[in-house]
Amino acid sequence: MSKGVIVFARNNSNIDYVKQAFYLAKKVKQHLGLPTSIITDNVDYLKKTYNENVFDKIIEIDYDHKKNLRNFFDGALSSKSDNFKNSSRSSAYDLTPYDETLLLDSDFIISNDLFLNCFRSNHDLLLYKDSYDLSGTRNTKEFEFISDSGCEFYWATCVFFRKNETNKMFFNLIKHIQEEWHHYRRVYQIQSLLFRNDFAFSIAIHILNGFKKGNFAAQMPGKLTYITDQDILWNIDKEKMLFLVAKKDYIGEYHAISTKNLNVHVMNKFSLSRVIDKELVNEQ
Amino acid sequence: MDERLKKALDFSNYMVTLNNQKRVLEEKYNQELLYYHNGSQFTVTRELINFCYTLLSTGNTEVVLVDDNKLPVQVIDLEEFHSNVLDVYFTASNSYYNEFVELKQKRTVEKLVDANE
Amino acid sequence: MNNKGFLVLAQNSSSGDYIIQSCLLAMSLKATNNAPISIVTNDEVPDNYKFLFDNIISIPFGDDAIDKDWKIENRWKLYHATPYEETIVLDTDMLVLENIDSWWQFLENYDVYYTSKVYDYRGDIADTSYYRKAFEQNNLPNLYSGFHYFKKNDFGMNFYQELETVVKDYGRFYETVVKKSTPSFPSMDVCAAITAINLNCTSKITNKYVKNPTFTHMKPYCQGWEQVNKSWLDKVGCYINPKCEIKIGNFLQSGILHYTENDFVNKTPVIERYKVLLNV
Repeated sequence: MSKGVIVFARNNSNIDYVKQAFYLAKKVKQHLGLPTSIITDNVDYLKKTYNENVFDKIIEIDYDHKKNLRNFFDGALSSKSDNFKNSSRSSAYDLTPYDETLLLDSDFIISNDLFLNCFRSNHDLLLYKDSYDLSGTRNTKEFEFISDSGCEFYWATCVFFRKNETNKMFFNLIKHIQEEWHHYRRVYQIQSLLFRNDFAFSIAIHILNGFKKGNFAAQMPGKLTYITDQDILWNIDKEKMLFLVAKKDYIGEYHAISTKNLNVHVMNKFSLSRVIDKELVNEQ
Repeated sequence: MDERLKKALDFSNYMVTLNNQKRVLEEKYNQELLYYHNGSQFTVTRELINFCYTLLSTGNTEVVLVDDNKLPVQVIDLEEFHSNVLDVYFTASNSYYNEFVELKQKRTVEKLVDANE
Repeated sequence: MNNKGFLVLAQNSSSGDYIIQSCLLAMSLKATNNAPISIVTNDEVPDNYKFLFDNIISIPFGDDAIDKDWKIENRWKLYHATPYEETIVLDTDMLVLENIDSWWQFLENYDVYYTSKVYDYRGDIADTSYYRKAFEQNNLPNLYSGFHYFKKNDFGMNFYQELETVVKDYGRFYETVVKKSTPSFPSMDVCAAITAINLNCTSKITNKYVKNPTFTHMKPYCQGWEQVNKSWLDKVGCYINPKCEIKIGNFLQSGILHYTENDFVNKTPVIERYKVLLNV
C-alpha cells in the first residue's frame, strides 16, 4: 500500500501557502521519511520559486474565483482581510495519489515521528478531537463543540485515512454538507456564515455516528497542539520552537513559551512565513 | 515604577513562564506515553503496568485489553507487551524528570524558554 | 401479582396536566417494552387512554398533597401502592425510547436502586450542580428519584418506612443534615439521600461505575451550554419522526428522556406521533 502526505496550498494576496507547503514537505521527509504531494492552483508559481523536487507529485486544481473573506491575524494587534480558499479539502479522497494518506494543513510544523503511528493503526480514519492550546489560559470551548448546542468538534487540520468505500462515503458526505452549508449551519446553530472544514468534518462524523457520540473516527495520536493567529511564532531552531503567546486580558502583550520535539499547528501564517524565510536563507 | 513593584512583576512574569513550560513538558510526556501494539493505541499508565504484572504473576500469558479507542485487543505475548510498556514508561518518565530538573534550575525568563536545550 | 412493572404517580395541578404526561409515558413504554405500567392517581384518566395502564390505583392513605401545588408528599407511598414484586418508578415527564429489559436484569442485584448520574442530550454526564447545591454543600449522596427501583422485601420496606419518616418531618432532618442551601420543600431526591445516610446504605442502593440505568435530564443548566435559555425548547430544535424517534439539537435520543417541560407535550407533535404509531 502506498503511503504519503498531502497538503493543500492555495495562495491569496497576502499568504504564500505554497511556501508553507514546501517547508512542511521538508519537515515530513526529515521526521517521517514519507513523500509529500501538493495540491495547488499555483503550479507555475511553485515551479518558478521553489524546488519542485521536494514534492512527490504536484496535483493541479482549478483556480477558485469565489470570495470567502476572513480576517487573518498577525499577533493581537494586526490583521488583514483576505480570501480563505478552503473549499477543496472535501476532494482530498479523490485527489490523493496514496492508498494511505496523511492530510496536513500547510501551517503544521512537524518536529517528531509521532504521525508514523497513524500508518500502524487498525483504524482507517483518524482525526484530532483533543487539542492543547499552548497558552493554557484561553477559553477553548470553541474547540470542544462546533457551536454552543452543537456536536463535538473534530479538527480537519490533520486527517489520516485509507482508501476504502466507507471513507469515500465520508468525504462525499462532507462535499454534500459543503454544498448545503447554509442548511447545516442552521441545523447545528453555527453563528458564523464562513464555511469551515472543521465544522463540515465534525458534522459528517456526527451524522455517520447515527447522530450521537460514537467512534466512527478514531483519535490521531496524542493531542493537537496549537497556537492561534493572535500568537506569534518567533523562531525555529531545529526541533525547538519559540512562541510569543498572547497574555490573557492584556492585548498586545505576550508570554514566551518554547517547545521541543512537539508538533504544533501554527495558525499565525504571517509569523510562520517570516520564520520559514529565515530558515530557507540559513539553508542557503 | 516603584522598584518593589517592578521586582514583583518580574517575578510574576517568571512564574507564569515557568508554569507554562511545566505544562508543555507535561504534554510532551503524555505524548511519549503512547504505545502502539498491533495497530491499537495504549496510553501507558501505572494501572496498565500493574494489571499486566498481576496477570503475569498469576500465570496468564495472554489477555484481552481495551485500548484508548475503547476497542478490545487480544495481546498474545503478555510478557513482551508488559516489557514494552514498562520500557515506554521508564523512557518517558526519565526524560520528563531530567527536563523538569533542568527547567527548575533556570532563574530567568530568557533561560526558561531556552530551557529545553 | 405481576412480577415486574413500571409505576408513576400523577396528580394534576395548576402547573400542568400530569395525567396526560403519564399517558404519554405509558404510550412510549407500550411502543418499546413489554413490562406493564400502573398509575397511582386520584384524578380521572381519560377513557381512551385507560387501556394503556395495567392498574389505575388510588393514592393510598389519603392525599397528603391536597393543598400543595407541587405534589411531592405522596411519593413515599409508592412502595405500598405498587402491584408488582419489582417496580421501577418513573417521573411523569419522561419517555422510554428503547427496550430496557437489560436494566431489569441489572436491577435484580439490588433491593432498592437509585441512579446517581444522569446525562445531557449530547450523551455527556450532566453537570447538575446548578440545581443540586444542597447535595454538594452538605455532602449528600447524589441520588435521583426520577428513576428508581425497589423490590418488595424487608430491605425495601425498611427503606420506604424511613423515607416516610423523613418526608413527613423533613424540616427537622434538614436542620441537622441539610444545613446549607436548604430546600424549602420535601425534595424527594434530598429525602432519599437523607434516608440512605440514616440507614447507612448508600453503597447498597446505587452504583457509580455503571452508565445504565440512567436518564437524559433536560433541565437547561445541565446541558453544558454557555448561553442558557429559560426553556431548552427555546434553545435547540426538537424533531419527532413517525417512528417516534426523537432528536434534540440533531442528537438522536435513547434510553429514558426526562423532558422536564410541559411545553414539550403542548408544543410538539409527540402525542399525535405516539397515537398514530400505536393506533390509539
